[in-house]
Amino acid sequence: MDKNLSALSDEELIAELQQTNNERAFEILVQRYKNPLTNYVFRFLGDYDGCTDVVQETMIKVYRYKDNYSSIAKFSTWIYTIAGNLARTEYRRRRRRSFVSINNYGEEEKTFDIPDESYRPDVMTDSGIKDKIIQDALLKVKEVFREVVILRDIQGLSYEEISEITGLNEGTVKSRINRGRAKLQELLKDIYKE
Amino acid sequence: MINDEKKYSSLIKTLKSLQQVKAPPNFESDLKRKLNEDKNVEKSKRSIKDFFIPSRLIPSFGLAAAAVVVFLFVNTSSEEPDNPLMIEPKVREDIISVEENDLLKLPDGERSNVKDDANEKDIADKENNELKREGMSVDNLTETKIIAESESFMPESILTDRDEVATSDEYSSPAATGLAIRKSGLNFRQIKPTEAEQEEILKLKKKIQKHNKTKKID
Repeated sequence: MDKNLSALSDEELIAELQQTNNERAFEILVQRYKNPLTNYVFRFLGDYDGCTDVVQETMIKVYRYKDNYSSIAKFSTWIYTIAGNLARTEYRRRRRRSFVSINNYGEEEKTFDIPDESYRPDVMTDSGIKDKIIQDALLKVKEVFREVVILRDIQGLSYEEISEITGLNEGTVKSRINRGRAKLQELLKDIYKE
Repeated sequence: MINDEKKYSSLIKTLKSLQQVKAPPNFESDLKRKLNEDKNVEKSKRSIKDFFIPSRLIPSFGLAAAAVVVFLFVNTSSEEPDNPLMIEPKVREDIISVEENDLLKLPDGERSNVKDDANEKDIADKENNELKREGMSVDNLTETKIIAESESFMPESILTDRDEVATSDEYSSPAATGLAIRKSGLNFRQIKPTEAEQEEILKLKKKIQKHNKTKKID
């Protein structure tokens, strides 16, 4: 039984979940998508705990609203859309919160977050640190450009899929990707000097 | 587009080489726990909802609401009774007529008053014209004139309240309105006694006169 389900496509698994409420089908979908979604949301938010919560929320929504899925769309684009919406909401919420914490500077027991810019790209050799630099640069790119760059260059999705996920036409997607790449290259110019 | 990919090839390579971030090992167990919590919350929400508005009562609630709406609609559309104080009195067109000759019949003092109020008469004329426009045909007007004139030549003896009629009937307010209103045209009860009755009345009058005379002598 399990073997058969594992062989099914995403669309067949969600159909199985819709028709028979087979929880094993849902578990297989979770196994398939938990890592790609975690990577996508982490690159967008830059926070691991936050990204785990967002991905779990995404899975809960998939389970709760499984009947809303229609086989016209690909399952992958549907689940990426949900994750992207939740990630965006979480990102804005965090930004508001950090803005409030800076405004309250000076009050007792209130903290404020200022990005740590003490690293020196010229002396960094460790791949982990390089990752951090790239991640920091990604977070400096506007969220509309960042989202599409992550989907294209990190997650490796096609323009068509990105267009479906974001609800934008392909031309806009391509233009946004290029603008995001340009900004990113400018921010990472020190890395390419080496 | 291929040119763009080439232009940013090193950047794309760098981004693709980034370490893949994986979900924590307890991801599935946490997810199951959250799903169960979510189910419980849903159940409790549903039971609370059902407690306050049981689903079987929804149609009857709907029906009651519809009935209230219909009642309100019917109630507001029904005609309200007219306030009797706000109703304008009906104009008795059949008893009102304009007679220029009536002015000639007035005593001298009153006639001068009438001339002084010439403007008011103009207004009355306008009102008269309005009456005509409102549907009173010329024939009707002449008819009413004829009736009024014929009544004015009627012997006054046949009117029961002769004295009162004489004082209030004759041009009681022509100066104000320019219209001659006669009591004979109003709804006063008019009695035409027969000859026998007239004789009886005369007898009674004579008796009263005799009685009065005897009283005066005493």
